[in-house]
Amino acid sequence: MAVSPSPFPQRLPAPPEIGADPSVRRRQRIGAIGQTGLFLSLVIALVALIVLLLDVVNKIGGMAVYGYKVDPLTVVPSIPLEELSQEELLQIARDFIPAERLDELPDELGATLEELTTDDLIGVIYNEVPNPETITARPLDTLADQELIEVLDNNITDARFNQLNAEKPFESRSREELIELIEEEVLLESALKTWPLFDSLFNRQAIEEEIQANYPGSEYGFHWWLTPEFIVSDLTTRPETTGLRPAIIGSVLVIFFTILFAVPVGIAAGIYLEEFAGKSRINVLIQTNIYNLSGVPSIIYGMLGVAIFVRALSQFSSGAAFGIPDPPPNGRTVISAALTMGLLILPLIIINTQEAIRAVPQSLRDGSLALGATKWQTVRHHVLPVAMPSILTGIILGISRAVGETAPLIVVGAAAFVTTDPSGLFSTFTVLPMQIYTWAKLPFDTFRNISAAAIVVLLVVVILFNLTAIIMRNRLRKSL
Amino acid sequence: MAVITQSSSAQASVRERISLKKKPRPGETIIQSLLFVSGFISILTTIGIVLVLVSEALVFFASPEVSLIEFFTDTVWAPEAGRVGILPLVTSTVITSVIAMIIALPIGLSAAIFLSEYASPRARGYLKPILELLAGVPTIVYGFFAVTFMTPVLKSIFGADVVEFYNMASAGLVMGVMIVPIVASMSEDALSAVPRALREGSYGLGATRLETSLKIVVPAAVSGIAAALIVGISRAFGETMIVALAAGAGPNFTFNPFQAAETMTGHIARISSGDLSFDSLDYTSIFSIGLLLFIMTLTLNMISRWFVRRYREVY
Repeated sequence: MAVSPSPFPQRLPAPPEIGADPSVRRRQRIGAIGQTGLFLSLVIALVALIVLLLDVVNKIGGMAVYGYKVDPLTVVPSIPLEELSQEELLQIARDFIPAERLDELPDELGATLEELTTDDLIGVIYNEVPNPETITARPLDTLADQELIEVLDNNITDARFNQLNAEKPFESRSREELIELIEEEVLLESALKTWPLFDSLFNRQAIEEEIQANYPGSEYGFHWWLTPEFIVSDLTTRPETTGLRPAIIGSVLVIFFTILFAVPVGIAAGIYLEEFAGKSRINVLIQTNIYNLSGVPSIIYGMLGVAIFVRALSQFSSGAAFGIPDPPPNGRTVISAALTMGLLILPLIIINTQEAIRAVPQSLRDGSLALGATKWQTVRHHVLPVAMPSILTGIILGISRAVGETAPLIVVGAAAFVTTDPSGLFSTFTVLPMQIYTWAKLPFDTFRNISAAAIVVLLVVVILFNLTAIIMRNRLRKSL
Repeated sequence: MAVITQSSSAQASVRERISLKKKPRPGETIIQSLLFVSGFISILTTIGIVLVLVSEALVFFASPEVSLIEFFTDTVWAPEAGRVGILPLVTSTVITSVIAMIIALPIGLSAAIFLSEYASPRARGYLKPILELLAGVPTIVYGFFAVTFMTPVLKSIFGADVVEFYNMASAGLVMGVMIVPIVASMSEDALSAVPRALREGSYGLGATRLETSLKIVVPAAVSGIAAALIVGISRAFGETMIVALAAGAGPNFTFNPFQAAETMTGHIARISSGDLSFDSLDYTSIFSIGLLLFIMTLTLNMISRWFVRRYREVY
């Protein structure tokens, strides 16, 4: 039964040379090839990890060519056709009415264009030319400051207009600032196409040529998607302006309450099963049950969460039962998410706590009990302090799992579009991985870019957690 | 005689002063019951899961459009249109999982053999964190990787017209990478539980290290390796984010891995990420899928635990 965990000693005595038997050489050669093959599997794993990281990094920045979502000519003021002279109107008609229509028109009207009055000519132009205002539109850079402000006022909501005015009064903004503002707010300047980071760094010349060929006259440049502003800004529907702050705050809140629930309960259950539980039927049932729970797919926990916490207990999870002022309409809140996530990582923490407690030498307990300590005193003062670092390692791994877990929260939170920061237990929420999912699902380059930027934030947190746990455990092994 | 009576009376007086009865300790009892309650929460969780899945699935099966026979035989899943055949969701779940295991089993097992039979403790200290970091990457990141890297690679190898934008192969391959650490760590446990005497006997007969590993240690650990394989499959069945992003956004009854087909978990994730009304057939239908998924993974996990117990008993 006693199993030696140590591997077979590394230095084997060299096999005696039996030059006469050719099969020995062959077998040893096969052995060497086999060893390389086995080692290769770890190389593959390492390569997969590196490629995965590079693939993400490849999308957080790169060349981008910019354009307007809204045609500038449709928002700027135009000269009314009525103010134009007969010659100018004729010119417009000849330039913008298709040639075959021009031939047909005199028959339909019973007169040539030149014979028409100004008013009739204007009518013809309105009938035959789509969007005639854009023909006489005045380009943005010819407008006066006051006209620029009017363009803004006419094309964005009053609330946004007042907000911008409060940030910095329009009268005190320079012409360039005003034009920039219009480009951002009204014309929705955005990246039309983006290139991966490594291409942009090593192949910039070719990309610039491609841009000049396919997007003549467009602005282009190097665009970082992962910026400090991206991390601290509000969520919007546009990749160019959106940020992560609500998602980060949501993640922190959910994880905080998850820890608050799962860590004490998990450690307590682990202590119970290792130190207090006898071999009674219920204890065996609890133990088997925990192993089974650890294998339940995470999305099933999400369904449990949505049916129990969100739906059945909606009065409590929306905070309505506690008299919260203007509670959310349903239970898709931080507390539902935290409880679901807590149940999900509970088996993980329990199993790990049990292993940590099992590793504490029996002699410590015997000594304490022999001196008259009670069971709980023994556990509290002798077993737990020794097992604590190892328990903590497990908790860190559990939290790291919770930070990256997406599926149950999609079911519980329904991937809500949340623009305000979640503020407490009873607010609707979004979390980092949910935001990544929402963006990664959209088949547009720019959403992939911000998705990758958010992944970098998530990975930094998760890998830091994991590295801490690995280092802590290796230290523990050495000290034991 | 007198001496004896004297001593027995002295004993009696000592016994009066020291009670050997268990002292009532209310604090101790309270703490013990609190600890028990914590343990019992896990039972409540299981009861909750079963209750929720079964009750909502019953509502689903009770609705007039749904028949149990159709559920297991029809090849179209469209609850709102009255077609509720679970088969397309199950086949794509199985296909992606099989692809994943074709990747994960050889790589994971080789890594386990190398770590347990070849690597020095020092080398293992450097090599194992690779697998642990791979295991720590959130699955949503793997999903992103599948869509933005694996699918374009498959398209460039097999042709853009053969490989669809969403496809099961890409999701399966990446899921395989995700499962490698699970298979590796479980197999390694099984391999290192094989007694040293078996290896020494093999070396004594002149076997090389590779022969010993493959012909002696691996067969001796086969039940543990089977357990790893089964847990891997169960993980693949239950994995959501990779398939939700990469495998497809609609049920499709097909056996072509280069086509898009939504899996059970992917469907649940997509349906519930919309604004779902709690009274709709869509809502109850995902619980019927969830129930089937729960039964499938639970069965696999139980079989795997049975395998693990077997090798623990043997050695």
